[in-house]
Amino acid sequence: MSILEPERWQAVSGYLDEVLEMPEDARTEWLDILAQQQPEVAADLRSLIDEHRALDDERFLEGPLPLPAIQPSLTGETFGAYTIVAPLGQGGMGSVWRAERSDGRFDRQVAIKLLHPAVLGRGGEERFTREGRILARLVHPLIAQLVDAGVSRSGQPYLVLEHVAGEHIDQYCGRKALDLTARIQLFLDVLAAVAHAHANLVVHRDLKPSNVLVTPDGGVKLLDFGIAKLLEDDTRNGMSLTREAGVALTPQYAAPEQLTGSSITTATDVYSLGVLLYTLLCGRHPAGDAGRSTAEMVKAIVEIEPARMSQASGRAFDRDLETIVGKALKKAPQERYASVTAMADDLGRFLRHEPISARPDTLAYRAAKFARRNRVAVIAATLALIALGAGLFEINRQRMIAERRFIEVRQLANKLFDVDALVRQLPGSSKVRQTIVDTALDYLRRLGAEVQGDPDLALEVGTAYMRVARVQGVPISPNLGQAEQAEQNLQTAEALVRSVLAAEPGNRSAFLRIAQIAHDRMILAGNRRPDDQALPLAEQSASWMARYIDSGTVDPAETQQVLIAMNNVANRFRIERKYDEALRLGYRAIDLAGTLKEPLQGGSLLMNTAYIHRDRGELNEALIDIRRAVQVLTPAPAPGVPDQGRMANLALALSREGAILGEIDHVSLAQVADAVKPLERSFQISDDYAHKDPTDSLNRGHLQPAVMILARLLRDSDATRSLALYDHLLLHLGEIKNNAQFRRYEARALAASTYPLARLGRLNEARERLDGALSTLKDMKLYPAQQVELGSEVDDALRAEGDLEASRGDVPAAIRTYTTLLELVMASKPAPDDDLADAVDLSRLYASLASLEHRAEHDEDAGSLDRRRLELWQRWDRKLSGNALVRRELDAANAGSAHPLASLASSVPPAPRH
Amino acid sequence: MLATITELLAAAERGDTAAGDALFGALYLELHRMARRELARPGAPVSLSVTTLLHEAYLEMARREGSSFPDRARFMGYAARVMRGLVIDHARRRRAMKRGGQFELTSLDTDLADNIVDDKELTHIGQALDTLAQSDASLAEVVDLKFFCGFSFAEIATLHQISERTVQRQWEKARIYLHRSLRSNQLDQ
Repeated sequence: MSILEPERWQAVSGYLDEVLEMPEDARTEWLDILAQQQPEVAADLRSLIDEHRALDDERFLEGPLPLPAIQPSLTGETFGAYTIVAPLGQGGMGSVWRAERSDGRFDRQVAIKLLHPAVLGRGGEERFTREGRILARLVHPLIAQLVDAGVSRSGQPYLVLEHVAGEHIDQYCGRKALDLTARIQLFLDVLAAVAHAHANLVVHRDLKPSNVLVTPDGGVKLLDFGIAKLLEDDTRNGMSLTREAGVALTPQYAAPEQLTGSSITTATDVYSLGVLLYTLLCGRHPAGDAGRSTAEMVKAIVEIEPARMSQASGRAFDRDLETIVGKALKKAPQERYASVTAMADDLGRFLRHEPISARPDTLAYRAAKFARRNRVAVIAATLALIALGAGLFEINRQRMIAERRFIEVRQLANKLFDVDALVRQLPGSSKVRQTIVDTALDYLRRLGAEVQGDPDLALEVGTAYMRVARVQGVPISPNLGQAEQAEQNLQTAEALVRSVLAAEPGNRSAFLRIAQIAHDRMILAGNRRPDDQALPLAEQSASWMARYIDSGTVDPAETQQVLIAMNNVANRFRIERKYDEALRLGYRAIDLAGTLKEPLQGGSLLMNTAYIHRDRGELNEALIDIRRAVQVLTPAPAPGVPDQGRMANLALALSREGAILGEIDHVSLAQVADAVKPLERSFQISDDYAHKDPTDSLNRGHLQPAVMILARLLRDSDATRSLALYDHLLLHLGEIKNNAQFRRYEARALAASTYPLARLGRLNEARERLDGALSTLKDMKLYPAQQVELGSEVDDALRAEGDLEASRGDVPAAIRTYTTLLELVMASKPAPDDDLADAVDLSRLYASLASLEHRAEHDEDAGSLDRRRLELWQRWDRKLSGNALVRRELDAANAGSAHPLASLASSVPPAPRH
Repeated sequence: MLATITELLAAAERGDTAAGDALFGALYLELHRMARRELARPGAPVSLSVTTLLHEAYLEMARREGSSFPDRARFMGYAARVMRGLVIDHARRRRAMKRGGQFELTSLDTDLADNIVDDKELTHIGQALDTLAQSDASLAEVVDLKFFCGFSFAEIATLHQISERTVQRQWEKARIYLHRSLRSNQLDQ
């Protein structure tokens, strides 16, 4: 029985495993031992091992089996005047076939390239054939001729091309080890060909080594001239990069204007020739090494100046030569060689050791280059490539996960966030962000399973979850308004990062991440009611952030985020009245920001210190700081889109300036007339942005303070405008669903709008609105309540109710409402002796109720309230004697509440109309 | 009644040879259909690599037939077997230079216009693999996957949840078997 029979084979198989694992020298001995126990098996094994040695020498089955590709057979088909004879293989754009003239006449060797029907685009057959005929007129010995272009009866577009056998120019130069001069001379031939095409008004658009062949006799032949244009329809230039299968998403040879969608000219070819020359001379690509992500490549080509050839390759190159290459590679087309001929001339001069015409870059020029930013263009290009490649992207995604190629998935998740960071700057892009979020979460879920025992990965995934949460719903940047999902993802992130700390207690990046996650959760907690989770999270964030800063230098890439976080945490401390902590953290952040020229951070920090001063009653200091903030945040007039984040902060700063100046019934300077201008400006800015991006909830939120304060100012003097402002705000707020914060804003605005309505005599409408406000608060389980905090939405709503009842003349009802409110407020344990804002709010409450009691002729009750009010301010006067605000309040308290509806409102001249 | 791939697979594994043949035919058609569809998609490459096709085929069929569809590893084993058949047929047909077939496999790399392994050898290898499969199915499968479909050792290792070293060893054993088989075949003739 042959050893190949199952029975014998199985007997030997296990032993064969053993033997194959053993090193050669151990085998003989082992086999000898085996031979004593099982001589037949041993003999078989010996023979099989000999077999193995023999087949290894023969390289049996090692050669590549030419693996079949799968495509329809076309041999015998006709295209135009030609018939297909045999397959040639695959090109970049389609299958390529050898063909001959159908009538048997010998003309030349041709190849037929079959293209995907989609290349016909919108122009259709007619455009394709017409432009193809134009290209066919380009005849030059160094250019592979386009013989014909057409569309078959079945709708298949095809190109008939002169068939050229040759090597890619870079391979040729490498194989023949050509020296510098020889390479340049070969390159000059290429330039001659391109110059001819340009003279005939044809731009190549896709010059790269695989399109520049060298034939066996050493001559150059350029392929695919103008084909790129032929293939695209009349849409953006970026399309041509993705149409070519296999070239999709690899913009390596593209010129910057091709990536940014600007016009393609002969200068585009000059750039590509520059890339080619650079590669031929020093073996590197000007944009850096291969294997980078699309976004990185695009950025490198559009923004980053290429390194000099000497630097990139480590070999010495003549300065003149570097200058020539550099001139061809300029980002701005008009700075390159005006023509291919000019470039050839300079190269000729170089070869003859004559001075060249191009000037090297001056130091100032180089310095200025690096300052140039073209971010919008980079974003647009990247988005275009990604969106257009979406189909391919989808297949790749499945395949990658299917094959569990782990590293690529990990890199891809990060690339998504590179894109998001760029995308965040553009207004109107929330749909794209939602797509990114969904895709990313998918990945992260799969990755999360792999995380065990890999702290680096855990940290990356944790960071990624944090970023997703931000895009979803942490209101510190444009987001989609999904707060609950964000919280969940933040907790997932935290768990992951804590696991890193468990494994590596000194990991600084982990400190930073925990600080950031705590900060994000703090923001979300601050928007919930009750918001008591926010303070502990603030403390957590502050302490981890301190550990991060104290344990080393701040990563430059993270500085902005660090400052933002510190700023927000300081703000939370302020809200919770931990003023000392707030100031400490604020000043620390200002120190840190001192090294950066980031107006966004400086402005934000100043805004918060201004408010801290305000809360302490230091209103003049507050005004100084807030005005500095406004100044710092106001952008200098410059072309391009102002940073959305900066404008949002400016709007906020302006509304705060208005608040400090003249927010009625609050801690302010009571300079109401001065307050109107910054408030109007704030409103204008926020309103502009709210229109630009209807799905972005952050912008609508920023409308709120300016509108509320301004409308309040105007409610007596210009009730119509006041009402219009409230309605405008309500309209915008109403368009974002599922956001608790906005529902609260709505309730407040509804309540506040009852005042101008009452003023205009529309009492029934006012009542409806008030009911609406109360109903919203009821839905949110905020009302009815056992206690009501001063300054809360319920407080506002109940005061509005009381005031409305008073307007209708129903004083007893008003008294009941106000009395109840007072009880509820007291139940919340306010601190009017510690907190100036509470003092102002409570004082007003006393005043309103006292005034009503006077009207009802309950003078005793009224008097007792008046007394409480007076004593409150007398205590404050002792604490902060000389303080203007306290003075004002004290004077008002002394005057008593005998006057109807005495309050701090002063009259405001009607606001100027736009 | 049209059986699902799942049902055919289960039956074939129970030893039902008719189901085995039907399975082979069904997979053959399925792969053809998928290849055609992939080629017709806008933006798709104009040709497809075998590994890509098999991955896509798996995803699609698994999605279609639901959770009882066998796992990737078993599926790939069968699909690779089908590919073996297709490749051997292709090699034979190329020699015969058949024209005008509805669907043809063409070589990617035309520099190697003549096979490293000629079609007679390939046919014999196919037969030898069938015999090998009776005693050691995993070895035959490794050859199908690596040699006929182009999977790498790493991919096969992941697919079967074994170490790469084990896959390499299986490959070596299979080569020994096939080489011996070819040689004894020649000697017989």
